[in-house]
Order: sequence, then C-alpha cells, then structure tokens
Amino acid sequence: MSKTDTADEAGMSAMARPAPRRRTSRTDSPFWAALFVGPNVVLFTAFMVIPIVWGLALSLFDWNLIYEPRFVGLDNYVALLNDARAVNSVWKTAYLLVLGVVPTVFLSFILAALINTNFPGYSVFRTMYLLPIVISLVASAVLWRFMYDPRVGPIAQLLSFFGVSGPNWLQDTTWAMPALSLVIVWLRLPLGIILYLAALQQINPQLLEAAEIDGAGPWQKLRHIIWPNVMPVTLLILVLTLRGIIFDSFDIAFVMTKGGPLNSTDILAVYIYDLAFAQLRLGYASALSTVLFVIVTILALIFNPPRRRPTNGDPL
Amino acid sequence: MSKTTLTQFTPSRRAVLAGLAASPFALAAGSHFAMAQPTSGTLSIGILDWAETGIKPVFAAYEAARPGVKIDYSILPGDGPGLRQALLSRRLANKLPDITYLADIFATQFANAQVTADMRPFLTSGGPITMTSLAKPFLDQYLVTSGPNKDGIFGLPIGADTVVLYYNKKHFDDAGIPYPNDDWTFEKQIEVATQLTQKNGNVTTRYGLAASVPWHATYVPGIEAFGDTLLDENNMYKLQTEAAIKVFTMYWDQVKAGIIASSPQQTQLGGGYQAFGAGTVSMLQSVRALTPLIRSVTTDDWDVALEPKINGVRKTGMGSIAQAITPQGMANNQELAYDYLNWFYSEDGGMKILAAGYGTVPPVEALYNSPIWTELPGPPYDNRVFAESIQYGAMNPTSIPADVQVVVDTELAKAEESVVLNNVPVADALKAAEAVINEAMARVLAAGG
Repeated sequence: MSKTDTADEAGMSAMARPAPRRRTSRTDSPFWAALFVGPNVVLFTAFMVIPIVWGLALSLFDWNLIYEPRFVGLDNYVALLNDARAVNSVWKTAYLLVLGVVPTVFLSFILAALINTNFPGYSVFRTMYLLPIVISLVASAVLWRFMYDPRVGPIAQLLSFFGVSGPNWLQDTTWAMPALSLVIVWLRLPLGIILYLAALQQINPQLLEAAEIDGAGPWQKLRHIIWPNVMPVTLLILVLTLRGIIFDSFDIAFVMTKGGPLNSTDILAVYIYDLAFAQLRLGYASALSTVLFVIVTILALIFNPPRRRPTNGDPL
Repeated sequence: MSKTTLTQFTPSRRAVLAGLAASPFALAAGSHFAMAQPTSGTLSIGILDWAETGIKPVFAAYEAARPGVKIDYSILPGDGPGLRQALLSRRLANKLPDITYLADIFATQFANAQVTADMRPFLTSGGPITMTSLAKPFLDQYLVTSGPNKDGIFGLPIGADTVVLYYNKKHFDDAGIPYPNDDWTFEKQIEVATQLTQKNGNVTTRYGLAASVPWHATYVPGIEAFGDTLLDENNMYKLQTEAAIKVFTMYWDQVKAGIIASSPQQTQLGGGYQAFGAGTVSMLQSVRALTPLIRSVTTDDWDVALEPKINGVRKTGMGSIAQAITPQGMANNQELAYDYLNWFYSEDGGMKILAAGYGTVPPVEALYNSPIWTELPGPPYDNRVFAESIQYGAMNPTSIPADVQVVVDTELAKAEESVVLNNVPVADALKAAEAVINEAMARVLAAGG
C-alpha cells in the first residue's frame, strides 16, 4: 500500500512528475523565477503583509478617524482582558467552529463518497452539490433569512405540515447560532466535496479490489484504505474550514442576525466590525484582530504543521 | 411607482404662488447676494440612500436651470454608523463631495472632523436664506453647542419632519374599526392594534403596529409625556426613572405579546415601510421623508394620523436631515455648491420640488401649510397632520455625542431583546443599558466629546 501525498490527491501528480525539459538553463534562471513569483510577492505584500503590519501598529494607538492617533502602548490589549463582550465573542466563535467544522468535514466526505460513483445522472448531483459556491455570501444570507422566516419560510411551512410549531430561529438565543452554522456548513460543503472527490479519485482501484479479494468489508476498506489516503486532504479541509468560518462568517452573521439576539451570534468578526466601523475604535479593534490572527495561526500550525520538503524533489 | 414631480403637480400655479408669497424665500428677489450663475462645472453631492427617489427630480431641475452644470451624485448609507464611516473615510481620502447630506446627531462630530463647513457666512451674507429663514427648532439641530466649533451651524435642514402614524385603511375597514383620530390615546391605539393583529398559533402573521422602541423618536417623546427628561444636568442618561421605565414597559409589553413589531421583527418582514406596504403591519410609526417610498410600495389605501397621546399629553419625535457644504480646500467646487443652495432654497428651487414630490415638509414656518405639499393628491390625504405635529415635537438632545448615540442604540436594542426573549424585568434591562451608556458618555466626554 502506498501513501498518496496531498498534491497527488488534488490531482496534481502529473504536474509533480518530472517533465522533459528542452530549455533547462533558461527555466532555472533566477530571472524566470522572479518573473513568475514577483507579481504574487508584490500583491501578497500589498494586500496581506502591509495590512497585517499596519494593523499591528494600529493596535498600539487610540484612533477614531477624526483626531490624531494617540500612542497607548499595550493598553488596548490590557483592556481586552476586562472586556466581557470580547470574551463572549471568543466563546461564540469557538461554538461556531464546533458546530461548523465537524459537520463540514464529515458531510463533505460522505457526499463526495456518494457522488464518486457513476450512477445515472451523477453529473447533475455533482453540479447541484457545487451550487452554493457560486452564490454570493450576502445573497445566501438573505436567502436563508427567508428560509428561517417563522411566518412564511419553507422551514416553518414544512414543520407546520407535521403539526410542529418551530422556533423563531434567528430571534432565539438557543437556535440562532445553530441556524447560522447550518448556512455556513452549506456554503463550505462544495470546497470540501471537490477536494475529497479529487482525493477519492486518486485512490488506486486495484487496492480496493485487492482488499475485497482479501475479504475486507466496507468498513475495513474505509478504515484501512480510503481514510489513510484522504487524511492529508482532511487536514487541508480542516484548516480551510477553520479559517473560512473564522473570517468568512462575518457576511452571514451580519446580514442574518447582526450578532444578536443578545449577542448569541456575536462572533469575533462581528464584534471587530462593530468596534471599528460603528464605534470607530480602530486601535482597539486592531488589537482584537491581532489576537484573532494569532489564534488562527496557532490553529493552522496545530492542524497543518510545516513539514520539511524532501530532498528528492517530490512534493509534500 | 407613483411619483409626482413639479411637472405633474396638480395645485394651480396661483395656489402655489400664493403659498410662496409669504415665504421668506420671496426675499431672495433682488438680493445683493445673488452671484453670477455658473455656466459650467460639476457639482458632487452625497445623498442618503433612501432619499434618492425624492431628490433625483431636484437634481434634474437644477441641471435644467443651469445648462452646462452637471450634478454627480453618490449614495451614502442611510444608517447612522454607515454614514459616519463613509464620510469620515472619504475625508481621510480627501474625496468628500461638495455637498453632503447628514443627520443631526453627527453635526458636532462632522464639524470637528472637518467634514462640514460652518454655514453662518452663507446665512449672514445677505443671500436668499438667512439665520431666521428656517424654522428654529430644525436649524438648531445643527447648531454646535460645545467644542472648538461652538455656536457654528453645520447643516441646513431640508425638512420639518415629525413622527406620524401611517395606517392601512383597508385593514381598518375589513375589521370594521373607525380610523384613528386626534383623540386617540396610546391605550386606544394598542386596543385597536390588538384587534388588527393576526396570528397563526404563536406566530404573528400581521402586526397591529410597527414601532422601533430603541429609536429616540419613540422613547424621548414618551419620557417627556410623563414629565421627565432623557438626560440629567450632567448630560448623563436617566433610564431608571419612573417615566423611562413606564415608557419602555408599555411598548415592550406589546412587543412580547406580538402586537408591536420591533426593529428585528421589522427587519425580518423586509423593513418597516416595506412591511406596511406589503400589509404585514397595519399601522406604522414613520416620518414624512419616507412618504415617497411608502407610496411606491403600498397598494392598499392608507392615510396618516397624529401620534396618540401618552399620559394625556401629545408628544412626537421630530427632526430633520440636512445638507452641508464641504470645507474650503476639500470641496472641488464650493462656488457651485453655494449656487446650488441658493437655488435650492429659492422660490422655484429644489425645496419646492422636493415638497411637491411628497418628500418633505419645508422647514419654513410660512410653508407649514403651503399648498405646495398639502394639496397633493393622496394618499396621504390628511396632510395637516405633518404640520400640526411640529408643535408637539420632542427632539433627541443635541448634546449627545455621536459616539455615544451608537452605544445607546446598541444597548437599548439589547435591552429590548433581554426583556422580550429572556423576560428580564424592564427596570433591570434599562439599568444594565444605562451603566454601559453612561460609561461610554464619561469616556467620550473625557476625551473631548
């Protein structure tokens, strides 16, 4: 049994394979490397590195866009420790991660496995599963706000058909966060399905056939062949989902609940927006953003630690 | 959509002129302030999103009156935080429009941030509009009372707006209920709202009344009706007084009962005026400025009435949005901006067109009953309500800093949720809100307001 690496699973094995080179000296030159990497470096610096450094610097100031920024040192960070709403936001974000990450990974795998077969009309199902990724986040939020409408929403209509009176999903402190997480899972499924599908299609069918001949049932095949082969992709999806839920859930939460009711969906991204753009406390908001950046970095390192590149040139 | 512009205006020209004859605008004739009309150039104006429908005919008329001049307008967010964010960001980028719309709560902050210029030189230069032309209560909203710009006027109101009661006549007719009248009390209003409310199990499918309780135009009049004030002598909020607790309780009890649609519920219904238009609320507390939009979305027949009395006293929320000039050095075309304002407040200018489009009651006492807007075809039919309400007006104190108002709005919304969703006693919810608000007030005042 051979362990398939991440690049292979993403369908990139052909790219990783050494190709015949006609002009080796030319493509290996620093000029060409700089030419191809340069634009990325410039854009990454302009839109990622500089804003991050700027945000870090801003977190040491008190600024409201009106008066001159005032240097306050670490005061903003100290104030965070006593900010009950900030603490609440950290917990709400963690709660959303729990509700969002596990179902996204699990359902992505299940759905990818289901459509990884050539049943009649499978291409239609594959397209349908991918639809959420082409809908804008705000449009999705508005759509789902209608879905959750307690008067005319389809969910309420369906429940009433069975004689059940559902809650006012988005105005209920218990149900608002699960309701949001359902939307977020729905939005994040397509990427997970694509990655899992690519990984599943890279598994050598002969391995599965050999396992069957050896008497392996579905569970053994899943445990000993499929799961080990998709494990690197699972980690990738985990990290992407974590990052996506922490940063990209703002649109959904803001449009659907604005952090309410009673701060029950007041995730960090919503609180940071409120601090920065409603209260105009840009230094304090930057401090909280820095904390969030550190948390995400730590989580990414835990789930996807950096690995040394093998010296034989194979991709990781 | 039904939209009346100057060309569609039905009152006779004689009636219009008669209404304007008593107007201070008439003083414009022969004024030495009248500068040479610009013949070319582009004037940039930032308008609030919800005002676009009403203001576009005004811009078209100005361009017709000044061939060669072009208005380049941009849309600003209609909500307070969004407006503030947009204008302060544009100031930092030196991209302010020549004229900007603003709300009264931002008058001081925008003045300090050099988003707006002091209008006193304009008002005292002998032009068509003077310090006494505009109704004092509305002009005073833009009078800065503290800080480096004290005594300056940083906006010219474009309307004399009060909160009135919009009601769906069909809903009343179907229920066999007489329309609201001047004798209505809050208790009577709730009794009728209860009759008009429709439910499916525990879910309200039609609300009797839509009222945003955490909106200052709702609670400030109520507190004054009970003989108290919102702030103490140190500018701190008093939300634990008997008056405050009574006002919030009487509204929130009905929100809990599903009779009044609160702000979040209105959002769920698509928005306050949209819900009124769709017939999912029967009565709506709203202002004249939204009349063009209400007319455009409402198919049932409707009308307006005075806000009911509370505690035997009639008080109603009052205010206005304004337009202001960008300071010298930031505006691209200040001369054109002043010409626009001169034209806007002149006899046949933008104010008249705006009023004729249902969008405003002119903030000029002589025009409170002008046929320019009172004789417009209905709905609304009972236009005297808008003018009569002005005498009962209760305004949000102008001494509240904008940074604090944001916190007030947030905390009162949260208080509402804790009362409605968690059954927290009103007094406790207000106590919690007051603590956060006054902490913000102290912090902002200590930093210079």
